[in-house]
Amino acid sequence: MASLFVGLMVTPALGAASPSADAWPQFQADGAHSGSTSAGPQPPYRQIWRFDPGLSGRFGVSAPVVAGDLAVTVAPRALYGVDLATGTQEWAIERDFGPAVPPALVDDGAHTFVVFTEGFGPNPPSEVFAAPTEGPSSGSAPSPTASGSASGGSADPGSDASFDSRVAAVDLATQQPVWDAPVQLDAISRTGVTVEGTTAYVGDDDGVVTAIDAASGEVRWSYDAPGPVATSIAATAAGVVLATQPEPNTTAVVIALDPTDGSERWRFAPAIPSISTVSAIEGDTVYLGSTDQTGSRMLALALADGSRRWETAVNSQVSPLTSPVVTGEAIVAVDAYTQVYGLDPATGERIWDHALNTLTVRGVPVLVGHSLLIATAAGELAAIDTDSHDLTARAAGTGPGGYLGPIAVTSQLVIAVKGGHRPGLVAFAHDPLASLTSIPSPTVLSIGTMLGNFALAALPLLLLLGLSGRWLRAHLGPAFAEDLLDPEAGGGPA
Amino acid sequence: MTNRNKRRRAGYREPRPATTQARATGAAARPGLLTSLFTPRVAGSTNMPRLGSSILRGLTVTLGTPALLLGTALLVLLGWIAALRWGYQGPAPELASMLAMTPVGTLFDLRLTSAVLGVGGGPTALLSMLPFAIVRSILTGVILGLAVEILDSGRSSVSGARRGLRVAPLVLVVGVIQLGFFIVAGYLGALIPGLAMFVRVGTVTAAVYLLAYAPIVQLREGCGVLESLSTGSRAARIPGTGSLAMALLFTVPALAISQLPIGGFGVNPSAWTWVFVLSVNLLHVSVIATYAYRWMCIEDEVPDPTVRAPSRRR
Repeated sequence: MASLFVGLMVTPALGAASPSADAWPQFQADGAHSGSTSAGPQPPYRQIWRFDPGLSGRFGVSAPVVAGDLAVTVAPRALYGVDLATGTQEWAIERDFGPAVPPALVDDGAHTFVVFTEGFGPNPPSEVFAAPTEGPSSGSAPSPTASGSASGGSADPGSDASFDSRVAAVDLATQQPVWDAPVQLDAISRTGVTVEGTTAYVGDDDGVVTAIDAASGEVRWSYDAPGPVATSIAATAAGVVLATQPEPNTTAVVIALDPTDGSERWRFAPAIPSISTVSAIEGDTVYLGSTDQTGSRMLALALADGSRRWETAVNSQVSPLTSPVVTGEAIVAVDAYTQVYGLDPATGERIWDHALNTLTVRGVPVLVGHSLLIATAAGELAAIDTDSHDLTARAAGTGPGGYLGPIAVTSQLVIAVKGGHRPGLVAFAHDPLASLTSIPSPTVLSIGTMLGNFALAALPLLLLLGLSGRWLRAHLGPAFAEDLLDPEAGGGPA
Repeated sequence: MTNRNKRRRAGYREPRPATTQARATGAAARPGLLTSLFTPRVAGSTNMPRLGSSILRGLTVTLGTPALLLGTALLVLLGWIAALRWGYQGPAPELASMLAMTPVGTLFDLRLTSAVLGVGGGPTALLSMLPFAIVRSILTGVILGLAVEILDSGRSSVSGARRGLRVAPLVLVVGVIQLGFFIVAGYLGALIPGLAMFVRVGTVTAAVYLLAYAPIVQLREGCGVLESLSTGSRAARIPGTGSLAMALLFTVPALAISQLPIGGFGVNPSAWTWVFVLSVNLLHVSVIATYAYRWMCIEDEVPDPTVRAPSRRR
């Protein structure tokens, strides 16, 4: 298990990549999950390529990360390097069968390497018994040929049907392991990797959070949370914030740790069992969403002590996979029915909202300049202008249908996870031929439209029903005939 | 000859004399909780009209009376505008349950409270819901008063609405009791998760079955809260009246409509949404009128309460 046999599936580059300073090194851009960039293509968009690694089954690819001219994504059995210019596969590195969760890129000045998790543990999903179908996108590169994972694990599916959970690092240029040995985990990791400074953080299903020296792969500290840690960990130099998932006898909590030694700073435990979104950190405040049986809300907690600064109700449930976008001017959150809320960072007051009224379960919003991009379950990339609050563009991915998921942004491209049948990545670029729309939110009152529609409905309906009522009344007669034998009522026998 | 088509005296009636007959007949006259369910309808055994006739009469009262027809539409529009002012954003089809009888209407109140005030459950939500419940009681009372007056005299007037206002407190009491049914249903549903939906529907049906007549009883008989509740539940249990079927006929579709995931968030409903909302609310008003009619048909045959024999002191 400790062997460092590297299964490389290096393939020649098929497209010329133009070097750039693009970087989206981890889920939601950085350890704090700010999810925003000032440089990126502005709407409207059109899809320019699709990367299809030939996956089948229920597992797709992870949120992409970007370094230079390369996007990296994790599939259940391999990491893929994708040329940003053409969307073709640059290389693939086999990994132990494991959850497709976001990797993180680390640049140590001399090299850029990708840190990723792997391994479904001793009880992998049934897909392990099926023949692997992952391969290069059609016509773009030869199939992987080598066996064994980058970390030297048991990558032969079905051999022992057990895949140790590990954290590994591979150099992007050479596809060689960076650490002496991968970091062994005790349980499956689904959080993906968060990197802050020189430390990489991962959590696992046993609730263990492990801080690893990104350069050497040495474990700095670990922390045992009271429940599974299955969503991305937020980290800044001032604190590490994670959310646990509820279990039958354990409620979910949000926990802040000291990044230096992993000591627990505070624990936010709602009175009612709830599910939290991924946190985002801005300055001294943690922002997250929460859903329980009483409703859903966005919360701001003090990073220092976990005290609640504000909470604001939102209309629909919030997905545990999403995260708010944090800027100095506003907190932008999206609920599962794709209603976007712009909230005052200081008070939580709703400044604006836009209801797209379509499902978003895996979509995580990102802010590109003043355009908020959100990928929907229907496979659309929607752009909402944060100044006008109008919907300015809506682009649908081509090819097999499926949801769009987490996004990475470069100066020229918006790269999103494509789910559903034949999952992979899709890239959108600015479409100079299309024009912007300016569709206000249906939650903005137009008194003329509202009353006009009412009149349009009510007048014929009431006329029709009124005539029906008169006819019924004439045919049925009075409910009770004149008093016959009720002397109390002043009547007498008829 | 039955007194089925006998004209009733309008509005308030003097309370009936003491229950001498009940004392004489003892417990035999008292129907069981589910007697009406298991007793077949025998021709001439009750003045209660069949369900179809009742519903048709309720519809006739609602649709054939401009005050109710236009009033319903106006109430819905005003309700929507008020909700918007409080920050409600829809979905607009939820408004279809606005004029529903309790406890379905109470669910609407709870949802509105949650959406407007951001409180979703617990004592805070129940307290916050109180203003909505009071408004609902007033509206239901007025509709009831008008329906009774129309059934009695064929006309609607301010005095009918005023009489209806007097029973608003009882409508509120009924709503609170029915809320208790909901809370019990919640606990029962948690005990048997697989059947939670059936438990909820069953509980709501039971609440309607036992309590729907109470406000009409007070309106017609002028009796107190407890006596109205008691008389109403006895009326529901009269064998062969189909009261449980009527309750089911109301609760199942009403709950289904109130739970339908239709429409997105938005404050400018389309014309079709308005058609849906207005139509369903008119049906809800018809249900109130239907219950008024059904009570008026059987008000003279409701058995008196059984007087329990005083327990012997040892």
